[in-house]
Amino acid sequence: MLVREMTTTELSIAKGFCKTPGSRSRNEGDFSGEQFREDVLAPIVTDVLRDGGLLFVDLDHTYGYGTSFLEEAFGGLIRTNVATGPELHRILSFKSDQEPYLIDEVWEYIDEAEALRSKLRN
Amino acid sequence: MRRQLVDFAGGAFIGAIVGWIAKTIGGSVSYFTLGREISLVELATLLLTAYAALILFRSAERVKYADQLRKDTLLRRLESVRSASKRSAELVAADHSPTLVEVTSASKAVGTEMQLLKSAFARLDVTIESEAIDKAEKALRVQHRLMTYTPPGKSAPDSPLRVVSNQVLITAGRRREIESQCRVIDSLLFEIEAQIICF
Repeated sequence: MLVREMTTTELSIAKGFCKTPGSRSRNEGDFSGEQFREDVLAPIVTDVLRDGGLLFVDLDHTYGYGTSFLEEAFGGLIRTNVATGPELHRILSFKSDQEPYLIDEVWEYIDEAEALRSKLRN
Repeated sequence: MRRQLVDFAGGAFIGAIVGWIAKTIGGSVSYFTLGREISLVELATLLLTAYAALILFRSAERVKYADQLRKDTLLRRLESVRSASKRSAELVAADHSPTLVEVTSASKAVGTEMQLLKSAFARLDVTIESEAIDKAEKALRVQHRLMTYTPPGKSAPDSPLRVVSNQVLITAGRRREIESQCRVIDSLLFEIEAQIICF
C-alpha cells in the first residue's frame, strides 16, 4: 500500500505579501485583497490542490485587516473558480493569535461564497 | 485559597507541636505567674488561640486585598477596551476620512484589548456571566465590519463605505450606524464593568 505524506505549505501574509493589507479591489488602492488573491494566494492554492497537500495561513503580524480584504482574498477563491468551499475546508488552516476571531470570519466568508456559488449553479 | 489552606495547615502543625510539648512537660514544669498561676497547658492554649486569630485576620485581609487587586486589573483592562473602541469610532468622525491602515490598526487594537481582557478573566480565575463578553465581542466585530466592509464585485459609487486610494470614505448614514454601534458596545462594557465590581 502506498502511503503518501501530505506536505504543508506555510504562508504568512505579513512576510509573503505585506504588513498593511489594504481594501478589496486593486482600483481602491495598494495591497488589496484582489492583488493578494491573484498574485499570491491563488497560485499557491492551485499548486496545493494539484499536489494534494495542505495550506497553513498565518494571519498574524500585520497592522490589521479590513473585512473586505479577507472576503475578497478567500471568498474570491470560490467566485473565481480557483477552489470550491469543500476543497478549501480540506486544505486550509489558519493561525491568528493576535485576533483569533478572524479565523471564524474567514470561514464565514468562504461558506457564504460557497453558498452563493451553489445557489447560482442550481 | 491555596495560601489560606497552607496558613491553616501550618498553624495547625505548629499548634500540634506546641500542644504536644506542653502536654508532655506540663505536669513536671513549675507554674508561670500571670496574675494568677496558670499551667503551661493553659498558656499554650492561650498562645494557640491568639495565633489562630492572627492567621484568620491575615487571611481575611489577604483575600480582601487579592480581590481588590483582581478587580483593579480587570477594570484597567476593560478601560483599555473602551478607549480603543472609542478611538476606533472617532476615526470616522465628521470631516475626517482616515486611511484604511489607520482604521484596520485601530480595529486590531480593539480586538487585541478584548483578547487581553478575556485572558485576564481566565488568568485571574474570575467568572462572570460570559454572555456579556460574547455580546461585546460580537458587537466589536460588527463595528469592524461597518468600518471596513465594501460589497464584493464592483465597488458601488453609492456604497455607504468606499475606499479610494486606501482612504476610507463614509457616508453620514454609515457614520450614524457606527456611532450607534459604539453606544451598544459602551452599554455592554458597562454591563461587564458592573459584573466585575460585584463579583
